[in-house]
Amino acid sequence: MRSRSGKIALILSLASSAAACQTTADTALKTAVLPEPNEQTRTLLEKAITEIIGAGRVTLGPVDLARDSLISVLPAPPGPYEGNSPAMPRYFELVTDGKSCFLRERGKDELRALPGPTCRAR
Amino acid sequence: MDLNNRPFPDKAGTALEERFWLRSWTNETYLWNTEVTDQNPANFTSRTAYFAVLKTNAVTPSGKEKDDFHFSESTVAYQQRQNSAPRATFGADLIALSTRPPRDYRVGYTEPQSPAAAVTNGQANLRRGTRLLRVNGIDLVNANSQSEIDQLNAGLFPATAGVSTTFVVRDPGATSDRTVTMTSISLSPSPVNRTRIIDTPTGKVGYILFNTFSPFESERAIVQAITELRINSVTDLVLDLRYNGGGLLAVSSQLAYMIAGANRTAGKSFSKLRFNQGAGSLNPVTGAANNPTPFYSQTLGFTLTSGTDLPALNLSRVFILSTAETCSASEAVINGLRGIDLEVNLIGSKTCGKPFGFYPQDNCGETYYTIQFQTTNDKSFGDYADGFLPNNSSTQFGVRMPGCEVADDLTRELGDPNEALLAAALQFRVNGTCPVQPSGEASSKMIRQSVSGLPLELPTRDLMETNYDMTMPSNRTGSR
Repeated sequence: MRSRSGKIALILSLASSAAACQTTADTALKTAVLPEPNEQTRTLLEKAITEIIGAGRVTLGPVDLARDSLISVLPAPPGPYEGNSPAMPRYFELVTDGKSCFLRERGKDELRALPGPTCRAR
Repeated sequence: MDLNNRPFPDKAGTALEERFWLRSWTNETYLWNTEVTDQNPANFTSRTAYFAVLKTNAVTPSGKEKDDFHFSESTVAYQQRQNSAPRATFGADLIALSTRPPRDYRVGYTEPQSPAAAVTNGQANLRRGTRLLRVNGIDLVNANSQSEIDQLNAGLFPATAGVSTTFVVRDPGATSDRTVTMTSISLSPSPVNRTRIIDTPTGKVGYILFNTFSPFESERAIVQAITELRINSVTDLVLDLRYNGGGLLAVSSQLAYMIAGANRTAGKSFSKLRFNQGAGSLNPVTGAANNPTPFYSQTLGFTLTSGTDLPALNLSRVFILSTAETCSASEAVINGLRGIDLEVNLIGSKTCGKPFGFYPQDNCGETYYTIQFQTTNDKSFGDYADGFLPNNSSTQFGVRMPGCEVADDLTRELGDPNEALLAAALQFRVNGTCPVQPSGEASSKMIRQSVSGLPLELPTRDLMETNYDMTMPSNRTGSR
């Protein structure tokens, strides 16, 4: 997994889901894992991704959060008539600046802070 | 809020505005939008009646409707199916040779670990080709009252697990009937029903019965199957897609990669989606760039952790078993591999011919299906609306390819080297010849309809093999 750095627009999310934007200069971010993932961590991730996507709920694909930085989010399953379904997972990365833990959708720059869990660079 | 706990995005409007929305949506996203006769929405009284005319009336070279899949249903019904609780099953896939008296229902295949596959007194409860004669005492062959039809349906397709049903059946080649009692269970149909390694004088041949690309579980299942074949060093593959109606295009891309390998797919596209001309370089539904789908060489995170390299057989040819039920994403595998000049041989009968797809769209509580894209391969070919067919087929229309026309064979188990399609594939593999078919033999999969009597219809095969929660794979029920 490659780490990324550069100017990053941070979207800091509060527990209330109110959001504010700020920009950090030259923040070096590295892909991260969660040393001690548990059900609470997973729920927190799902909640954060739900808010980013704007969905009612999301279902994570298979992931070992202690080992993997890349998290797949499953699409709605194909309906019975969808024989040519282009459905694909969406992907989110866990990243850290050495202090805090963030979620970032692959291919995008926006970050969402993950309050609570401690993550470490891979 | 909808069934998925998402707020409805709609704003309140008039019924006329709904119809105007349909007009705009069709103009923006319908594949053949220039072939739709523009009609005033105010001249229609219902949204569904208006939607019904928002399609092309052109036909394919064979005379089939060019757009034969254009309909809508309530969004509640659509989401209920997406989120539906698993259906109960005995684990037998049924084939109707005649839905009206004298009815002829046979077992196409059984699911592993199902009541149908369970062994009682040294014999599987049901096997491929077994004919169903009586269900809970009702004569399935000749019953002709609505009450009896209802009882047959209730017995064949129980609403819940734990329902015991008694069948009188006759196995292929048998001269007497036998009685079987089974109790329904919750069971997810297996995307890969079985794999076989067939030793031949000219090397090991792998066989995979792959029945659906639809559930997310299909990613893990097909990777496991290919891994098994790779470990056994097979030099050829017979891919049995005869009952595979499609599903996730991404998984079909993964499968094509695992057949062809890295070298043959390098720099090539598995498929490209062709939208209407007005869309330009964008996907008019998602608004994203319309980039080609590559041959995915890694796991995608459906049911395997994303980013792991896929195994590959690195084959230069493949033998695909087909019937008219071989549809959509199954045909995309054929077309995608032909697009990179891999030798694809077709054994069986003409495929269904569905290079088209759509994104179901809700508006005001109704979910609409309108064809929005055509899948094409690396050579930009996607005109197989009349299906793919073997070279020696007497059928006039369709895309011809190497192989043999062979009728489905219900007398032998799938994966048995003597089963007609598999046997033909093995023969064609050795010397490029086809078995002699009895003159005029029709596919035993074809439904023969008599002219009178009440039909007993099989439920539509549900491509959705999992529920929305994706607590894979244990809580699926209900194969047909």
